[in-house]
Amino acid sequence: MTQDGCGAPRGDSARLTHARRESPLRATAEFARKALVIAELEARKLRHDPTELFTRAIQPALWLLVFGQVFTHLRAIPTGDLRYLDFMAPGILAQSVLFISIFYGISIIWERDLGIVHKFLVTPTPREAIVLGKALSAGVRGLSQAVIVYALAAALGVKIDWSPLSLLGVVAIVALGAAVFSTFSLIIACLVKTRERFMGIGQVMTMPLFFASNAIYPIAIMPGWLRVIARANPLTYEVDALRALMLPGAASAYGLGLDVLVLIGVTALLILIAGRLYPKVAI
Amino acid sequence: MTTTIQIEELVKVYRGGIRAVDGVSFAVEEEEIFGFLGPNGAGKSTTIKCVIGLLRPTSGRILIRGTDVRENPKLVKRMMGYASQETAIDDRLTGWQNLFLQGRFFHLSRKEIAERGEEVLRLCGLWERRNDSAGTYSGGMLKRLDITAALIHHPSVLFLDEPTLGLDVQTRKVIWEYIERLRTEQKMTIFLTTHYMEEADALCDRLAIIDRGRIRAIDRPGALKAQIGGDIITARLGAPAERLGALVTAITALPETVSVNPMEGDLHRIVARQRGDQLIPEVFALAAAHDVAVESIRLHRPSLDDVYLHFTGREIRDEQGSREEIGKTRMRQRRLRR
Amino acid sequence: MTFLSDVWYVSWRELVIYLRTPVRILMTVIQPLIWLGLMGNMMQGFARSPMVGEMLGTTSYLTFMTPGIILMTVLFGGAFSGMSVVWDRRMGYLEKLLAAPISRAAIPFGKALAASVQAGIQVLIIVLIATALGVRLATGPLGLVAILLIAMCFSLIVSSLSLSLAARIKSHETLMAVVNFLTMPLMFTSNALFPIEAMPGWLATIARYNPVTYAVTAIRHLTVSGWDWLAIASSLGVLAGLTIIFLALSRFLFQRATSE
Repeated sequence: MTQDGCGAPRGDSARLTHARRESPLRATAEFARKALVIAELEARKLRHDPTELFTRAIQPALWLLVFGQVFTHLRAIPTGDLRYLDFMAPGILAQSVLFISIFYGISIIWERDLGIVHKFLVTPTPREAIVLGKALSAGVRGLSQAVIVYALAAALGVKIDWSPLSLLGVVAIVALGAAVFSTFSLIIACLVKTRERFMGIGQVMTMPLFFASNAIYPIAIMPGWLRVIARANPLTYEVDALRALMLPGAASAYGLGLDVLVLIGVTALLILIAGRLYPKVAI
Repeated sequence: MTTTIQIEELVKVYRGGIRAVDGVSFAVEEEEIFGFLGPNGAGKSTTIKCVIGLLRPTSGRILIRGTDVRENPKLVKRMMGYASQETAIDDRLTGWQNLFLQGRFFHLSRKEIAERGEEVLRLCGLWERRNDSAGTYSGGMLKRLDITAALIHHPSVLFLDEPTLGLDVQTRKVIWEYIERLRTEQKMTIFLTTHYMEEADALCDRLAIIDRGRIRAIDRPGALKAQIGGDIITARLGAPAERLGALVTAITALPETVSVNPMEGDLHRIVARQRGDQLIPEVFALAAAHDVAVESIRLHRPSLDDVYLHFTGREIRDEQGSREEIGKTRMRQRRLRR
Repeated sequence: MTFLSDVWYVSWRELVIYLRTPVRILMTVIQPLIWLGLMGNMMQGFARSPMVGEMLGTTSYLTFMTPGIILMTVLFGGAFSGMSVVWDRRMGYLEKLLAAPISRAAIPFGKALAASVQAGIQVLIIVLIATALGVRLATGPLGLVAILLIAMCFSLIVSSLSLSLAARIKSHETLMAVVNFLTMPLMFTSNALFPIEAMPGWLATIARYNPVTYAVTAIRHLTVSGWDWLAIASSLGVLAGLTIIFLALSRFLFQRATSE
């Protein structure tokens, strides 16, 4: 047990009362520091497993190369001034980040089996910080995926906006998107608890999320019921923002501000829920 | 007494050159419970798998009731029953379905399965629960079913690989009793492997100490313990090397001492011929004379731990193993401790 | 004779478990159905243009897409056979099978057989739902039987491939990754989702050599146009050949991997 400045020993309840006496600025800084530690831990794991990222490049390559080419050629989908391939590139970027993030939850089941979860739970780290740390590291993973998709798109002749401001914006949106879906997958993992069930559910969730959004076709041509679902889907806002930032001459349908707001809001909500559910996975 | 199992110079070398089993020979008599005692990686499972036919031995002879396994594998397989370390019961099927499949895989007729199945299920006390999903069985029930399923085709020899691995203490005792009953009521010859001292002590008529692919000793547990000698004194002695060396020499010279072995830390094992309690005061006297502090001292009768240490120079310790091993152990425990 | 019995009981176990978990059946049909429902519906509009209609051979994209979706469910469902081996290996059940006097080849064959029965069930569900969405088979109930046979035959190919991989691969995740690595490109570079005529040159060439294309073409004829015996026969020939090759491969690899 450590002692604080007042000389009183710190225990769990003492820590809580002590935290109330701290300034909110210090508390946030402490929170952020703990989250970063966890993110760094996870980023280190990434360096040990690069082959996964490569196999994840196959999906976007297929979509862009095959699907994109065919439908550009057919001119079957009305995408205004944009060529179809350009239109779908941000959507495929979001899709590949989605895929990587959704299967992130499985790492928590591994950690449960190895006892690491229990170790985290007994530290004074708040659950939300643990979850946030994981979300941040998922963001790092997502970014590496983004690089791959950018490279593919550029190779296929998609007109990309390379200005530093837009690149920065894309980085931020990708990180947010990864945070949303990785936290979502963490929640699912805490609820299903076994690897097999998780894999099954993971597969089932990614497709609807992807199809019921504006990733590969504009919302305008969707039937009514599908349009409603797409409006409620965070992926739609992510794609919208990416489209505006990534492609020169494309404007956001909902406004960049709204997109970012929605993504941040959903992330915050999911992190709170995940923080509550995190201890459940240890059972 | 006919030799039921005869193994001669069994060698198994894995791809990559690992000699898992390095010239193992032993014989098991009719209705005997024979055990292999050793830590993970000693070659116990590999030996069993070679005898069963799951692995192809690099060299050596395996005879079951006089029949060479290589000459007539199908016949020999019918004589053997096997239960692996993992409890190979499918949780998603009922107890009866598991047993039924086992019977069909051993090419028994439906009638035979119906009769024999009831017989063995009653034997292990699972007849009433036969139509329940195995997912609802406790760890002990799963193990009993697994061992029982190995009996369905009337084998005369039973091979059990770590039969109580992952079970809690009470359940292990229940399984031990069950194995004993199998030997007496069903007239089975049983070969088992284990790394639990108490298990080897409780069950085995004879025991082979196996370490790094080789047998170090074979005898009855009692005889093995007697081989070491009488009591064991474990003392923690603190002093610089020369004074300690002189003390050890002096203690070894005592008539009552069999041997003195330094161990980890400052521990020393002193094996007494018979009366350890009489040796202790002499050890204290010598220690004082050599200006060595006796920090702690303990006296006990030799256990199989000591037997193992004596014959292999090491202690049996549960090895940590790889991440995969840890995960497996945890999964097994979650499954068997419900 | 005992060989057939061994094969039957290996597959009996898989099927009993399969039928006990309707959730699993759901999982394997949901993905293709989402494609059908979401993407299929979406594309309906564009299929009405006359140029596209001619390429597809029908004015209903849903009807065009259904054979592709059937293949999708067969492809993804077949991957599960390999998973069952990984699972059995972990549980110790594989050892139990190998310690019994059954023929080693019965294990992959039995699991492949189970996979093809499962595929048949799944395809039936898909066709029922497609019918509910307005799709009509040009060849009626007899054509449905033919479709089921083709799908089940193709399932033997996919599951033996998956089983061959599982002979060496010991972890769920790795197997999943490798299987996805193969099935996605196979799907995309075939005529499952769009006609060969709509593909750029290089893609069309790949598609022509893709076994999935053969299965899709045969089933599409039965769905959209009618009994085109030449096309169906040539497809079946290719599929039968591949089935034998892959079953033999799985048997070979399995025996090698399990008798160290």
